[in-house]
Amino acid sequence: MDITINKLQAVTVVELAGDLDANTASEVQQKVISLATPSSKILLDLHGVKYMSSAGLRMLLSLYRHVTANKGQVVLVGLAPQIYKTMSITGFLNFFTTCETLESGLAVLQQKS
Amino acid sequence: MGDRDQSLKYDDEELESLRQDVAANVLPRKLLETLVAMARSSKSHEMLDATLQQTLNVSTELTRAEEGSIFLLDPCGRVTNCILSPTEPPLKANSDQLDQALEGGLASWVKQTQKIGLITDTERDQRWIAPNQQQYTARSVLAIPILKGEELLGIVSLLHSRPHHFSQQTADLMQLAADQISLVLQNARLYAELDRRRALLNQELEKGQYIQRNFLPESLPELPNLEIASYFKPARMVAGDFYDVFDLPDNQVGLVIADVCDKGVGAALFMALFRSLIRIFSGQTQLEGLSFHSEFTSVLLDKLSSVPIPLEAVTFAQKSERQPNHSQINALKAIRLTNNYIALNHGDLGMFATLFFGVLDPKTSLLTYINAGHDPLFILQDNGQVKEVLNSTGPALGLLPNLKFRIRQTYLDVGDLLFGYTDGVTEARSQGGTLFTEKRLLTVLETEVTSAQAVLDRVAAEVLAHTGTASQFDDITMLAVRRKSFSVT
Repeated sequence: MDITINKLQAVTVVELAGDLDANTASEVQQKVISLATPSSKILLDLHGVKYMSSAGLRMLLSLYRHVTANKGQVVLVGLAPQIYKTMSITGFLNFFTTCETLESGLAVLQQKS
Repeated sequence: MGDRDQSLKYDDEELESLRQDVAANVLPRKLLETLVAMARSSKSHEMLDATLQQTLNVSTELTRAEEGSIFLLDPCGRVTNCILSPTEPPLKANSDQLDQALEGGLASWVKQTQKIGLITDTERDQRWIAPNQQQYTARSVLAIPILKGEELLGIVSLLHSRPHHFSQQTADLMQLAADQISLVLQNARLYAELDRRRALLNQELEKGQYIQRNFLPESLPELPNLEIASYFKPARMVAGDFYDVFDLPDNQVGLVIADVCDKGVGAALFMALFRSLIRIFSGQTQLEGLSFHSEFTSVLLDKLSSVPIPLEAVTFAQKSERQPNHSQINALKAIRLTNNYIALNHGDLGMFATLFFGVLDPKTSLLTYINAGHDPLFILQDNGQVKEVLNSTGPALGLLPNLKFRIRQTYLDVGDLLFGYTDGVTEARSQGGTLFTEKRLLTVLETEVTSAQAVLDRVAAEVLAHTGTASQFDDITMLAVRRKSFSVT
């Protein structure tokens, strides 16, 4: 799992590449949760994630809880169709703003302030 | 013999140089080969003894000793392993006997001084105490301490029946080898420790597995016009998947299939929690003779059901506009209560489960259910065609407090089969990494249904054939309920 973290103005862009599963989720969680500081704006770019297991969803749930507790925002970008479907079935889509492209994701985060 | 004759022509200096070379290169290589070979073999519990044996063999070969022994000590200086001869298997003596072997004599001197003990003639050295009851008479002895810093890891003793067989040069040679032997012994000891701990851990997991099996129904209820079958194959020793079938008040039957997020022990602990909460909150478990839905317990429930959902808010599949069965609706409150229990008490862990909970009336075959974020269940006709898909009616359980779950109803006709599975089926991977997929599952299901058990057996066989020799990636669980034709009796 490759994790790249970049700051684009007020937005922290986290780019993940690889499978997000039981083997990789805890490492991602450790790195990403620490970014959820008060009023933080996080964009999770999942274009490079082809497979996400429930361990990955668990990571997303923890991230969501941390971000909302800190009055921040999180946007998911580039969900593979299968991941989108899983998130739909499990109700995760109700909690997350999702966008197709990095640009549209950034626009959402920059407009909501 | 020609080679040996040739070797006799070496002068002392050459011979010494050759031996130094052996000590510096051949010995470590031989020991390392043993270590690698043993580490690769599955018999790692035998590795320590084999390493000791090999160490002793190489040492006797190098010094041309006739006999030898090796003792391995623990950090307190007690003997843990020993080999008393290069030719005989390790001795299984009790540790007191072994400790005595190192008392007094040369070994004791080496233990105290941590120096190489060289006795060129045992008849002229007070440090030598001849062992009792031994036919072999040693006249020349070399005892080498194997050290790790200041800790004595072990002692290698070498014997010869001729005085002056071992010289200061032999002692120097073994001094060079001692560091290599020390490394090998340290590694062997680490492997032995690792093996011991792995065995302990496995034992714990086996106990966990045994207990977890107890959290699955011991047997499935047998009802006159229903056939219920299940399949459960965890990927690891303990699983996050589970299914449940249990009796509920008013002769209803509770049906659960669920998948707790993530894997391993954490998922297994939550499996136990989810399973028990559903049973208790649905009224399966009677507390002190009271159903959980009593005045007595209502106070306890207040906190958990902070947003009561009035029955009117319940939505039904349009297909059946039957009167809601209140016993069934009551049992399904377990979903809201369990969701809130998990989210309020364990929210920090981010654990959740996708869970289908259906309550079936065996008499009318009315099925009232909530599908909390689980993969769809199917109702199949007797020709294997999908008649109805029971999609998710709410989010997975435990995400956040006070989430809404819609209740739906359907009806099993005679011959209909309710089929539930976990994603271990559709996401089963072949060796090449391709997934089994829902599409494939539906194809496999599309065959005349002879019995619930036969359907599960067929799907299981297909999934296992698909994964082949690839290691099982996720737990595989299935549940099937078939409404049989009315029995004439």
